[in-house]
Amino acid sequence: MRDVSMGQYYPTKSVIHRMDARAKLVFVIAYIVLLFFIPTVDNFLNKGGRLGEYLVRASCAYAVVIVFLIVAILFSRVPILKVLKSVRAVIFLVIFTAVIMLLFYSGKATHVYWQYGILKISLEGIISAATMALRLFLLVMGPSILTHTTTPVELTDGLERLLKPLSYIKVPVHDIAIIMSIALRLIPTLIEETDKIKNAQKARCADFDSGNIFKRAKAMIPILVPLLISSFRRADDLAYAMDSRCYRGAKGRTRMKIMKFGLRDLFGLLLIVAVFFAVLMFAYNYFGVATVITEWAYTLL
Amino acid sequence: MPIVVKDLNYIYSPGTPFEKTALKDITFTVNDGDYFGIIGHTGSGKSTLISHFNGLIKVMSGSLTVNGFDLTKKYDYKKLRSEVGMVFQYPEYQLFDETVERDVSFGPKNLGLSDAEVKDRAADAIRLVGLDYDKIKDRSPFELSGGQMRRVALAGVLAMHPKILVLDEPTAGLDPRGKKEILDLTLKIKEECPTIIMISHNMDEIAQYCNRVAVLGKGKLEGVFTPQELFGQEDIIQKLGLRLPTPAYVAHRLRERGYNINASDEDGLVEAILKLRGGGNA
Repeated sequence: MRDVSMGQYYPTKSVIHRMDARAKLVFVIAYIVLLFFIPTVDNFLNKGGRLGEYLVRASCAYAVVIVFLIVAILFSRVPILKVLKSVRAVIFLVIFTAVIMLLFYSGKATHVYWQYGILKISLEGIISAATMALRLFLLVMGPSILTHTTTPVELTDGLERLLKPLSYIKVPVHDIAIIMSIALRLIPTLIEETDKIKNAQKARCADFDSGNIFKRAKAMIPILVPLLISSFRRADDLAYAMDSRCYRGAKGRTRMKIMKFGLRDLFGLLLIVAVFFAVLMFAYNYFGVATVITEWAYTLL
Repeated sequence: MPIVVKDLNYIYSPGTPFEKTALKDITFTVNDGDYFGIIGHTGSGKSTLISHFNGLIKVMSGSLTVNGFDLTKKYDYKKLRSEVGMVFQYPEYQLFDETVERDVSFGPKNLGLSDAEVKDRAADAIRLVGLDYDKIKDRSPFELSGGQMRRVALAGVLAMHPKILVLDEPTAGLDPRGKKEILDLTLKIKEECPTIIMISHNMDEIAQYCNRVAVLGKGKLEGVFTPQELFGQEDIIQKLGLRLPTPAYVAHRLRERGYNINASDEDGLVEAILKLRGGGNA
C-alpha cells in the first residue's frame, strides 16, 4: 500500500518547482488541449489526406511534444523514471483502448491484413491504435510533472485563484478548494490507518488473500468499518480544531504566501506558446512546412 | 517455547531515497514466563520489532524463532498468529462488528473452531477482561466507554488462547486509574497466557510489572536488564532521555545528597529511608 507513488510530490528546488502554481495549471491545460489538436488518422483521411502525409505530420507534431516533455522533466530535476512510473496506473487502460481501436477501426482502410466479421486489422488501424496509445501516455505524463513539482497545497491554492471568477456567480470556490486540500492531505493518513487496521485484523487471523471475489469483498468489512468510523472521528476533530482557530471560510481571509507571476513563468508561457505553434504548424501545414517535409521524405525514400 | 531473536535487521524501503534502517543486529531471548518489557523512544523500532513476532513483517536478515516456529522458513501463519496474540496501540479502533460478542468471536472463528467452542471462548474472554458478559454481549462496541472498548478489543485477542501476548503500549491514552486497571488485568491474564511482552514509555510501569526489559535506541538494542539493573545504568538512561521511575528517582537524588539509599520501588524506598532514619536516631 505504500507504493502509491503516482504523481507524488518530489522535492527538488528546480525552476519548475518554483513556478507559480496557477501558471503551471494553465500550462498543463494548454498542453492537454494541444494534444487534442493533433488530428487522428481517420479524421485526416476523411478530409482527403494521404496516409504518408499523415505519418509525417503526426510524427513531427508528436516529436515536438515529446521533446518539450523531456525538456520539462530535465528542468524539473525529477528522475525521468519516476515520471514514467506514473504511466503504470493507466497502462491497462491504454492497452485495452489500443486493442479495441486496432480491431474496430472503421475509417478508410487501404491495407487490410486480416478480417473476421466486423473485426479487422489494417495498416490504418495499427497507426490509429499506436497514436492513440501514445496520446494517452502523453496525456498522463504532463499532469504527472505538475503533481511531481507542485505540492497539493500549492495546487489547490492555484486552482482556487484560477476559479475565483466563478465565485461571482455564487460558486463556493474557496470551500471546494479547502475540501480538496483536506482530502489530499488525508490520503497518506488513510493509507497508514488502513495498514494499521489491516495488520490488527491479520493478527486475529483474518484472511484477505484467498477465496473468490465475494469472499474477498466480505473479508474487507473488518477493515472498512473501522476505517469509516475513524474517518468520521477525524473529520469531527478537524472541524473542532478549525472552529477553535476561528476559521470562517473565505471571508476576510488573507494569505501567507502570495503567488507572483514571475519571469520564469513568463519564460514558461513563451515556451508553451512556441510549442503550441510548432505543433499546429506541423499538424495543419502552416506555411506549407508539412508539405516541404513530406516531399523531402518521399525523395529520401 | 521462548522467542529467540538473533542478528535481526530491518530496513524500510531499501534501495530508495526513503531508505531507513529500523532494526540493526538485534539479538535477545524472551524466556517462558517472562513479563518482558520493551522500552525506547518513538521511532526506536519497537513496533517494527514486535510486528516480526507474529509474522506481520517478514524477516529480512538474521533469524527469529517464536514458540518453535522458524520465521525465516515457511510456516503455518494461522497457527503462529493464534499462539502469539498481538494487541496494537489503541486496539479499540479495530472494533468493527455489530455486537461485542460477535467482535470478540472474530479471531476464534477465523481459526475454524466450532460454533459452540467459539461462543465459549468469547464468553470466557469477555469475563476474563472483567466485563459482565450477559450485560454487554449484545451491545454495539461503539456505544461503550473508551476503557470498555479497549477491554473488548483485548478480549478479541485473548479469545484465540494465545501462549504469548504482545501488548503495544496498552495504557496509551488512559487515565491513571484506567492504566492501573489494564496493567493489573495483564497480571490476571498471565495466569493463562504465561509469557507477556509489553512496549511501554513509562518506566514506572516497567519497574512495577516487568521482570526483564529490553532497551531500544534508534533501532539498536542497548541491552536487556532486570528493572533494578536498568535503573543503575545511568549512562543509558541519560543517553536515551528516559526518566527513572519515581521511587528510583527519589533514591537517586538522595544519593546525590550523600545518603546511602538504594531502592527501585515504593516499599523499598520507604524501608530504606526508615532504616536510615532509625540508624541515625540510634
